[in-house]
Amino acid sequence: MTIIEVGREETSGLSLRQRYSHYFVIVYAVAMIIISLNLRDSILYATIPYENTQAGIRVFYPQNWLLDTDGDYVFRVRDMGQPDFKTTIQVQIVPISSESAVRNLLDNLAFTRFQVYAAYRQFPRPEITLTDGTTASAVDYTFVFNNTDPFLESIPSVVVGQDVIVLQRGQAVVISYQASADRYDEFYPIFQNFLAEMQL
Amino acid sequence: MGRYSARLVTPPQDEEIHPYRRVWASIALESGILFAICAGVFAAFNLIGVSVPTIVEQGLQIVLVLLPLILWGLFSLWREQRVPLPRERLFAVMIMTALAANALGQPIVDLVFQPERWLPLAPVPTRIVAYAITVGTLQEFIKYMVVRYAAWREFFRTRLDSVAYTFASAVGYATVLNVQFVLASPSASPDALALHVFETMALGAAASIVVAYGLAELRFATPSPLFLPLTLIIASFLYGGLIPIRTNFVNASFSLAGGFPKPLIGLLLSFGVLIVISFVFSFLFERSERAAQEAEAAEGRA
Repeated sequence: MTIIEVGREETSGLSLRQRYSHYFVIVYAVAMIIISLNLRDSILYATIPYENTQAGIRVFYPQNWLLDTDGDYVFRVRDMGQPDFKTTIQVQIVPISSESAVRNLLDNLAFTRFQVYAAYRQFPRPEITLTDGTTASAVDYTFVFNNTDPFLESIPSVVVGQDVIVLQRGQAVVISYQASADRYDEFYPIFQNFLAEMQL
Repeated sequence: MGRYSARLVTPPQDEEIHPYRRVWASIALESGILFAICAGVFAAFNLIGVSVPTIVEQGLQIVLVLLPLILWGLFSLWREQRVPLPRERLFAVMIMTALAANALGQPIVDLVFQPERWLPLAPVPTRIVAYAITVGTLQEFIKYMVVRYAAWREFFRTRLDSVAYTFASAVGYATVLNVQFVLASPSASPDALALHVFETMALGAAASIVVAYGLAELRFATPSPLFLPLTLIIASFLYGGLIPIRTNFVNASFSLAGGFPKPLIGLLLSFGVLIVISFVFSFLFERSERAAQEAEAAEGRA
């Protein structure tokens, strides 16, 4: 038995039509990657405005984060989607006397947190300049967060935080960012955007 | 008893044989067996409540993850060696797609697109479009590139070669996704894994068949230059767009009335999509082939 394969006529090289077809596929793929990155950023970094005229702040906080204004702070938002420590951005206003310096406030914060947080440690860092030109003091710190809910059976997690302190009109505005150590860098751009858009 | 002269025996007629492996039959067999096994595992563990020792469960996990690959090896690759004119580079296409999926596809999805960070909370239309243009497009583009540079043109002798090569790439990609799924969640129950394995393979294969039509047309006909990108767009939306719909069936919705997952509907949806796509595109392949033959015959008469 002999098999005779009836083949089609071979043409040498790609035709112009075939060549353009492959180019269009590559163009489509590249365009979709650019569009998806743009879409991702627009959803991931989408913000909602919050304004408190009494405290004199206007901020834009991340969409889908839980807003809370009932504590001893002006404003707090948390990413409730996190499994352990909820990434938090908080704005607190602390009245200060005219003789008080940032150092006094930091010491006061440290004393308070030593009693509340386990293994609290503070690390000073250089001053930062906000977008409106204001110079703000900043401090980094770490502590161990332990969920007290026995049903969750969670293990303690290390939290890294940063406080940015601005003195104005006889009061100190303490802007805090706290996140689990393994997600601190991932969410830090969100905090930077928050600081950049904040109006005091 | 009469004796017949050799001269009176009917001479053997020239028999027209099909020298290539029949692709649609292989796909139907592989998909049917995969569906039966996955549905069986799901029914046994989820509906009947079968309980097995951990070591057996782990063995079952390995078998399930490799099941599409094993079935493809048996009903496509092995059969390919038993036909007069086997297709070359099928195994190479499968391996190259698996390597590309592991080296490029999954890392780009996990580290760059990160859909789990921003899509679960997005509205359904946004999720459908976003999954299609991220996960769907990337997966179909990688599979297309492998087939394009490993087999397209010189190894395409008939239109259905396109289906054979793109199906091989779908098997490679799905195997990597299944292995990654088990590595990411080693405690996944066999019924959840069975659903994942079948749905990944079925939707990946359905999307590959769509791109196969575009590649075959570009090889053997003269379609518009936008035809191949169009098939890639359809395939991307077919695969990516069905991810949120499928997830909605697997995960119970949150409501005051209580939510119940409907994983069987997700399984049937994936199987249904594969069947519909296979029938529609087998018809389109047949139609294109007949049109090409008629055109050749008309040329011959002229």
